[in-house]
Amino acid sequence: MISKLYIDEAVKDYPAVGSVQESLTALPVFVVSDAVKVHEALTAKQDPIAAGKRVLFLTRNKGSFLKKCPGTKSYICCGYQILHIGTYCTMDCAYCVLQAYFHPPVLQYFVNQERLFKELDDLVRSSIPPYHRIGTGEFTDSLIWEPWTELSRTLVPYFAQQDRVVLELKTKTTAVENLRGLEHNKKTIVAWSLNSPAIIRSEERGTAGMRARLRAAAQCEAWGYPLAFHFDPLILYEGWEKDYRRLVRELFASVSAKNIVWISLGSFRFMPSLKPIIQKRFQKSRIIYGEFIPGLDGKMRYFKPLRIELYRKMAAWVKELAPDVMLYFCMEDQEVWEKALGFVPEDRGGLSRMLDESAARHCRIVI
Amino acid sequence: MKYEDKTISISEIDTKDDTCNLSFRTDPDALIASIRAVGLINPPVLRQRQDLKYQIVCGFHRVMACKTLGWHEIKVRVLLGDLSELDLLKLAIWDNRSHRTLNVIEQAQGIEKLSAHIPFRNRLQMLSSLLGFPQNQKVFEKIEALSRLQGDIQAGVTDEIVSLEAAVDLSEFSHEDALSFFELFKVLKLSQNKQREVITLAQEIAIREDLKPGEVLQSKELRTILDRPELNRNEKGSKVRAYLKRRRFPTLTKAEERFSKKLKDLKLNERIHLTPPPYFEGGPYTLRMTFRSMKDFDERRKTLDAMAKNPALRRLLEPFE
Repeated sequence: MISKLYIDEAVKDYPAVGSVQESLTALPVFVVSDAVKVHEALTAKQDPIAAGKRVLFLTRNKGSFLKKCPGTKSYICCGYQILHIGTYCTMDCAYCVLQAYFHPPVLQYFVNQERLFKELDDLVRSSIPPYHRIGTGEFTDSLIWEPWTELSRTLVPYFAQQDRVVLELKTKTTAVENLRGLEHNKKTIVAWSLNSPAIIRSEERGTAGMRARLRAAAQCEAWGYPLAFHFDPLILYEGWEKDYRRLVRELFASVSAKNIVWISLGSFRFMPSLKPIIQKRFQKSRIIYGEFIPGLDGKMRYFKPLRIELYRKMAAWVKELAPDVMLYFCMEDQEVWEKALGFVPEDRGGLSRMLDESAARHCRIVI
Repeated sequence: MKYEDKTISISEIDTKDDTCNLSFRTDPDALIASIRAVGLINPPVLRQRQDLKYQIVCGFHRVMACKTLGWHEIKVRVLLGDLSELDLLKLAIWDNRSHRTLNVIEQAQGIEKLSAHIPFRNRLQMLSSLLGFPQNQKVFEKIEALSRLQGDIQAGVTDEIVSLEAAVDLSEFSHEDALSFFELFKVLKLSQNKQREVITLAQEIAIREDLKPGEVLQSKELRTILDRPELNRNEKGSKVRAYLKRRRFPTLTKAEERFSKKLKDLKLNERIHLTPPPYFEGGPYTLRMTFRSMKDFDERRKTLDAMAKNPALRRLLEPFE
């Protein structure tokens, strides 16, 4: 629950600020000269990471709105582009990298959207670089902003008018009501991160339950939106096989495989600096005590044979019910691809190309 | 501060009141010998309490030494006026610091005793300057943590049985578990990094297996290693760490053991070394070869040729199969 609204003095007259204020009328408002004031207020708190979720800072994005997803050369990256609408999240997942990524993390929303659309204009008009997939759910959850902003109502129709790029809205919420009735032209993919009810209960504070997410997905499917799902982070715990198998079954009982543009699998991985944060903030969490080793990108990952076994099983369960669905791994190497799926993306034109083609099939974009 | 010099009976001093006592385990014999030889050079500083008993502010060891020497009376300096506990503690600290540096346990006790009297916002600045540690929040937190340890372990820090960093780690455990680690460190005398490694491994095993860390350290396998008379301390330390690592990372350890076994099948000599990528995660294998002459080089080449034809090499490169 947001308890304070900070407004960067430089943006106080922006129209988007007025509309956010209208939906948060009961909140105390503080106009500040810069972000340092907000950071100072948060770092003085006992748990700045939690405090950062309870304030909303309206400011401008001084950098680029379009960013390359921070993949590394050591693992196969999907070549995603991030639409940087804001940072952080109101939900509180134990494994969330954003806790360690920003210093301190603060819920901030960028209101200088005229530049955002300028960058999008340039992108959809140009064929270089050839980006076809953009998402808002990398530095934040795509749909937590729905109660206070008109972002989806603006972005979805914008993407509907072009045929080069798809927008992916990735969420753990059920805040899809604003998507109803929008002219989307299949150029917006609504995506959910999925996990087992046991993991949602123990590690994902404040998120929607698994069935609620699937109901929201089914609703979006009924509105004609293409869908995507991300089984990420997959976590090894006692009973994971039974739980994840049931989760896969529930997914395909809720939505049709033919409307799914892609499904990603990613096992839990974390920057070493996240471990003490989880130990401090989620004292009952056991997720960091698996057999983790330092990966080639410096992140801790499950020891490779464990990942391969996890992926093999997940892939088999998915393929059993949806043999044609585009299934891919987020940040894995060739050996994992080969051993878990029986091929490497290079043989099929590369992961980026495979995803673009799936987007072309489901969303009718030209690639 | 104003004082009154006087001679009082030692029985009027409440030697159990350690409000201002910060000294941790100093050697009394040297002081007793000095007082026996030349008498009491600096009189202790006392404060008279409302119950008329005297409280020691500076000079605990001097009072105790005189008592040990059988003195009945002692020359003291009695503080005059109404002084706060903070004033008394500051005086005690500066008296100690006038002739020596406080050790970390004394600094920890100082933090514990002074914190209640100092506003939160000034705490780091005031305490670091009073107790003589760097004005750094992380350093402060580490020293503060030591005050939560039992006396035995605190003594272990000053005796260098437990490293400072490991002691800070132990401050998070129950007294019982912390003592289990301490007993192990007394036997093994591990370096700081190895102590911390043992703490982390045992703690994480305990979490994974729903045990207490102390129970992990009491396991039969570990006790068997410690009881083996033919092993020296370093060997026991290595075996204990290997045992904990095997229990914490069973799949990784099995892969490493399998690799070592397959490597033996290759029958390489000591001049050719094959090293797997770290954690078998996907980096390159490393082959290292040494030679002294062309003849040597030819021999190595033959070994490499034989290695390339050996089916064991293919098996070696599949560490998970």
